[in-house]
Amino acid sequence: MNRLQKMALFNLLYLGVSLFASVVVLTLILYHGGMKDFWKHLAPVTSLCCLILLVLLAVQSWPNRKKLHGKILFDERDKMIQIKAMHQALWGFFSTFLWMMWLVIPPKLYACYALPILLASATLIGMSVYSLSVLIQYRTGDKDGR
Amino acid sequence: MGDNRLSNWIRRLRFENGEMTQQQLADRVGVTRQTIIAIEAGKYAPSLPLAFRIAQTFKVQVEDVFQYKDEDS
Repeated sequence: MNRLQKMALFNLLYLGVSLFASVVVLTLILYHGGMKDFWKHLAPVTSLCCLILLVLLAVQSWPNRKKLHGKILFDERDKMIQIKAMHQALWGFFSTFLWMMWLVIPPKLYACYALPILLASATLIGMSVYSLSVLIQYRTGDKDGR
Repeated sequence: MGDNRLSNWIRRLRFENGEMTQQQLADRVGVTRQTIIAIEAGKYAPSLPLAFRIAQTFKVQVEDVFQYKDEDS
């Protein structure tokens, strides 16, 4: 298992745990403070998740070391898989962002609340798509011949 | 990434060349062992430069390593 695969697995684990933690925290807020508190706390919680996700993205976009002690760690196939996964992740990011913007966010919600939620959700979906795509491509390979 | 019409003789050529391991071939052509495994299994179609490097390693022509089966033929 190479660095890309390990990162992809770590991403999925992190996303799963943070999603679970966020749901628990927000449910507790909703239970104790009601809907008004929920909206007040939703933006900070999602902003925090988004910030951590962005740090993760920055770490992962750091150029891969191609050689270590003469051993090849990253080659043309890894690069192709990474680029393809990034394209799919961008599609996931923008489609989620637009979908959330038009369908899910309540019409009267203030933009300062909406933006972190939109960004966090889109980043979350984008990273999930990226990680799944990397793992699937390494496992199966696809058949488009490119 | 892979192409069902592309087959190869890498495994056979490795054994004909002193039972070369996948890792040794990978080191010689400058890729990871995972990539050699994927090429051998037909899951990944290598780039032209990589195909030539593999052929040069075995001192044969590219056509002796990779075969392309056209759907019409």
